Amino acid sequence: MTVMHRSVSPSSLHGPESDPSETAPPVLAPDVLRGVADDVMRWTEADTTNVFVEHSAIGMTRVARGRVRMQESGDALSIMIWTAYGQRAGVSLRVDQLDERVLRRAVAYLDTTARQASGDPAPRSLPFPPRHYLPGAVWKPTTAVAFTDTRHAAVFELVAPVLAAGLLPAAMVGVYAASKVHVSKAGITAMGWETDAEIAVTARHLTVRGQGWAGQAARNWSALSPAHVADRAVEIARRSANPVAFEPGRRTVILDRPAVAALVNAMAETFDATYNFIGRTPLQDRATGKPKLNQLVMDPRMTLRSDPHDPDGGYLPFDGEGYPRVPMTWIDKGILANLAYRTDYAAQRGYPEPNSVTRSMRLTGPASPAKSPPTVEEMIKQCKEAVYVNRIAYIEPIFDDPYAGTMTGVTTGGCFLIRDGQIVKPIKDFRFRDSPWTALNTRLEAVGTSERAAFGYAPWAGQWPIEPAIVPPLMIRDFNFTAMSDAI
Amino acid sequence: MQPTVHPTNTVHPTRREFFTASAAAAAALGLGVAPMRVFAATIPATAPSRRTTPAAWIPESLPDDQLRALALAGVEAARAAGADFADIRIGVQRGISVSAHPQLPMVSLACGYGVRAWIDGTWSFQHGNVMTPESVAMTARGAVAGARRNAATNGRLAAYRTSLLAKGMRDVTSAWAAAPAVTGEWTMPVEIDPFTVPIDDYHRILGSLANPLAPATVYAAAIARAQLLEWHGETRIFASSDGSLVTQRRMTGGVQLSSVSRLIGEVPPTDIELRDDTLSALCGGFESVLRPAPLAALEPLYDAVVRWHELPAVRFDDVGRFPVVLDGKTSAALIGTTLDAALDGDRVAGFESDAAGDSFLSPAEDILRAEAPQLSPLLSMHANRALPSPTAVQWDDDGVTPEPYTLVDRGRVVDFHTTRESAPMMTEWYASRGKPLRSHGTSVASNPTDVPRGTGGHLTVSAATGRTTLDALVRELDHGFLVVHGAVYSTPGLSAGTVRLDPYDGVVLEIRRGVPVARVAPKLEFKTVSALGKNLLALGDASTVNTTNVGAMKGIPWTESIQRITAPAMLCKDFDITLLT
Repeated sequence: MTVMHRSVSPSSLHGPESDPSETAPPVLAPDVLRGVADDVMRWTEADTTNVFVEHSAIGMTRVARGRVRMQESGDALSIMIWTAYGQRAGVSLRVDQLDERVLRRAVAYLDTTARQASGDPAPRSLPFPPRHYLPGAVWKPTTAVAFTDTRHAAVFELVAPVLAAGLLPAAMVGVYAASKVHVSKAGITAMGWETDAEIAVTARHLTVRGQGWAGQAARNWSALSPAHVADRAVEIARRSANPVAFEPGRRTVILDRPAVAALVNAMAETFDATYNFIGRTPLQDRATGKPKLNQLVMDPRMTLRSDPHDPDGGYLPFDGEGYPRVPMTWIDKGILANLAYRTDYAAQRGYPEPNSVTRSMRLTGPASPAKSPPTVEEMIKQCKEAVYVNRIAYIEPIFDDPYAGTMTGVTTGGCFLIRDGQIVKPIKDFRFRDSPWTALNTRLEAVGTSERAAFGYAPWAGQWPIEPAIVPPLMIRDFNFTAMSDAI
Repeated sequence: MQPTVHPTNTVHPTRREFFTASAAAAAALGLGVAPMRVFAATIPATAPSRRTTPAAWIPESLPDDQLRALALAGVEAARAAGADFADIRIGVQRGISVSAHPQLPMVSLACGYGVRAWIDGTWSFQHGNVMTPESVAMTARGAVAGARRNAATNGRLAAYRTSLLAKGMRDVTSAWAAAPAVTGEWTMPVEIDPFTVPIDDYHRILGSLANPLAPATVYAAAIARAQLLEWHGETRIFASSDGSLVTQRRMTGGVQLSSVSRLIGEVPPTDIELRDDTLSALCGGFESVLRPAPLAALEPLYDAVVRWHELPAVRFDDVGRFPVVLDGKTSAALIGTTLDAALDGDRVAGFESDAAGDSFLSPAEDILRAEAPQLSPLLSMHANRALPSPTAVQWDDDGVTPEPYTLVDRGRVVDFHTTRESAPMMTEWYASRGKPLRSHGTSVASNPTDVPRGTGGHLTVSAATGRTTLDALVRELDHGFLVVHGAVYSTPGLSAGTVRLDPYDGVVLEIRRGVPVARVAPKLEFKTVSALGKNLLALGDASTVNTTNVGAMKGIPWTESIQRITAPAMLCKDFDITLLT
């Protein structure tokens, strides 16, 4: 196979903004990266070689005080090679050039150093069962095109309505694309590419306190509606003017989708089997020290799944080590059904197939053809007194009692007091301290319809873009608000 | 050299010409086609390898004069494309990190650049790392095209902003503080280039630092652990369309050192671990781990730590308000995560409204003109980026020469951390003081491929001038807490926060009648303006001063910037302990 060797990096493909006629995708296609990896495999003489090639690109426009303040774009290529001879320790190298001379030099360097390596003090002989990968389903051409074209128009559609409403907007419009290939001499060939997009706007009052936040995220740029997001932010901001103090304590809360997404994202790592066998987690039986598999860990109405082909929350069907990611039901009608077994752990414990944990999850309530899940408005109508929370500014686990899975964080972007079935006033943000595991187990009152939620600024959740969370709004009893928090 | 094209990839004619032209141009400038751009690799653990130096393993990259040529090509391309202003940061970064066996040493090399273009008061930024004139020029043209497109969007939004401007909204995002063009070179002083030190010597130093600390008693022992030796060296070129061209060479690094003390025979052990993150980010070269000895930074504390082990570890269940003494490191962390972040010009100007957030110290004019001081008269804070701080540069990433400045003067906010972009919000204030408007030189792009953002350089909180040792502050407590190496977390709005322990660092002692009586682990909550205002009772003297690094995430995609804070110990009242369940 002839490999493309260039004297320039793929940043030449992420072409000038002024040339919309450039219709090539913003990243190199997986088969191109596969050709690079295959060449490296051909050149190296090592016994064991893994090659991971990734080409990613982002385009991010940010608005501050009602003006486009900055647009950032660029791409990055990474070629990571790991080699080992026999039972010697492996050595690794990373470069970012497709040039044949550079790659040959890199391979020669690795082979030379790998031959000099000493014995691996902890050699691992991992089984390599046959790998079957689902086809990828998360590359959307409309998002690729949006890099150079449609996303710029979205900025105006997102910001103008907020300004027209007399509010001060701050916004983000971001697109992302990545192409990934993992190849090894042991027979792994995993390749695929993905796109993602997110828009969000915060609408603030100019002279009084109060703000509203709204956002959307989707793999497919066409699914985003900037006008809808702007209207939502304006609506929340209008209701949020001059928030008043409200006594913290245990309250019935309606968590809208962005807030639930934050909880689910923070819960995801708990499904890692390693933590549940050797550590202490909410999914570990305190008495036996074993995972609570086949036990009730959540309300029986709830199911939590991950699926690379989820129409809203799909992801590439392989992880960073090239192992397949398969559809997985983590919690089935409240019962803990599965955990994620990382490669080395699976090999040590004799599990047939590793399956890495993913933060891309779909949380759903009961599916009933006879009755639609309640909307947020319908949940509000049910409440004698409750608190509505739009979004969570940040969240972190508290390790005082690992079995409890308690987390703390602060609300933001719209917090309201509900009385007698309607929103009566905006209230100041809260700090909360509660366990989503117990909240979703014994205190769940109502579950809405699941949709993908945007995260916006969320460094606690990982790198941007955050993996999809498809979640419903939830009504929870006795949610623990511990203190008020001043919003700015 | 004609590149070979993959048969499945369609190459536009323009790009095919580009490839050909690129190779020819590269040859003309003598750049060659394939200097390494990004490289990271492990060094094998063999005897011959350990006798080599890191430099032997890092590939060659471009010399300074060729980097300067690329920088000038970039700004020229931006100017030719119609930018009102453009600048470029282009750099080569080298790294070496060595941990204790059996971890393998790692070397790295990274090249890259970022171009900013400004049209009609609107920015755009594009980065790349293809080190050819054509690619740099194309990146620059991309930045200009983005700025032009965004300027058009801003033109459409202008009519919508009119009503907000009429209501008093300050337009601070379309101005740019002037600064003179700068030329020259600057090199951070380095006595021993760490890239010329044999790997074996790295391991010897790591081994020598793993030593018992303080005389062991019958009851307790303490040991230091040196976990990592790491240095980063960078050559960075800055050029701008108004004629700036500067070259800076920086070297920072050191040792990650922690120390653990343990009660002998205690089961399970309740270790007290203290870390010093500042030793890993010192300016200069390998000499920083030779003199003064890093252990000297931790030794003075260890007599006390060994005694603290003899105190019972208990659960503290009371609620209420308590006075606390925060040691210098904890004070620095508290100020860094709250007040100093609130003084960040990017936040005050509203640049982070959609991300890290705004500041409770805004709008700037209202804060600066307030009748009463906002904070305790005990508090004065100054910032600078001068040596020997590891934040030292001759020019920031806007091409501005940093100057020392005062942020808080006896409790009154008098200034903010500003860049050329955020400084315009201070226009009226500076004019009223008869001072020219200028940036303080706090612009930092952690990598040349990053968008420059404001940071605060090295912030120093003035210590008390009288004799007020840590012990003297503790003796003031009838019932309260002493926090040593505590962690501080602030709310997103910065107006409140929590002091608590990290799992692997720090200790909190319950104090009764001025004497430590127990080791505890409460979470102490505070309001920023109160803790540093009416509730700040005393500062420690110079003997209590300590330094810490505070990380802050900003931007979308978010990146971390590190702020260095030096502060004395503080005695504060009315920190809250609340029931948490």
